[in-house]
Amino acid sequence: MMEKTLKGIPASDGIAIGPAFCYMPAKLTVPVCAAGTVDEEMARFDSARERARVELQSLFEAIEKRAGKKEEASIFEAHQEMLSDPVLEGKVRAEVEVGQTVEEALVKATEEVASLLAGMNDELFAARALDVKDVSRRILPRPCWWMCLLKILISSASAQMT
Amino acid sequence: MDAKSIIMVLTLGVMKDHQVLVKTDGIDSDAALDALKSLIENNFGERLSSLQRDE
Repeated sequence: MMEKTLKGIPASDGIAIGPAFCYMPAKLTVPVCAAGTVDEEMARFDSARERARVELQSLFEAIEKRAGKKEEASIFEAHQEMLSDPVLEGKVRAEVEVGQTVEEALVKATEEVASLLAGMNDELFAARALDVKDVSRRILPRPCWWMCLLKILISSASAQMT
Repeated sequence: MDAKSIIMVLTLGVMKDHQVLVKTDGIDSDAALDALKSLIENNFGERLSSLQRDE
């Protein structure tokens, strides 16, 4: 029997069938919502960061598994590094301490850091502003939407009762 | 400047052939300095091929 092995780099992973993933990047805007205590807001920040860290880790592992994608995967390692950046965290905490919600704090801190990077002379460095924004978008805690909705429902329900 | 912050390290804008001054402070400052020294001496773990591509 004749056998011939061809070597090459796969251009495509083939055909995939499955549920579609709708890529709809959230805008860096925040719902209007009353801030909790500093500890409450920072706890929400921590759990949102943990969720984002798990997301980034699974993205990293999924892309790393594909042959020759090690370098592409490393972007998600860099994003994990930004996720736990002490300077970003410090800026968020400072905003929370003056009564902002963690969402507002994160948006403000992100703008500060992103403009710092965007203002750099080198294009390669300036483009990292987009990475910071990407990471923040991933962190932005989502439960607040539900909290706000819940608060509105409760307040309208109690308004009807009175 | 906090070297633990990737954002702050990025804002330094350090590129190939630049000279950097590293200062460490605290109880584990010697270990930290050694770690940074070996990191720099080992090309930050980057292979030669990826360095050449960037040039």
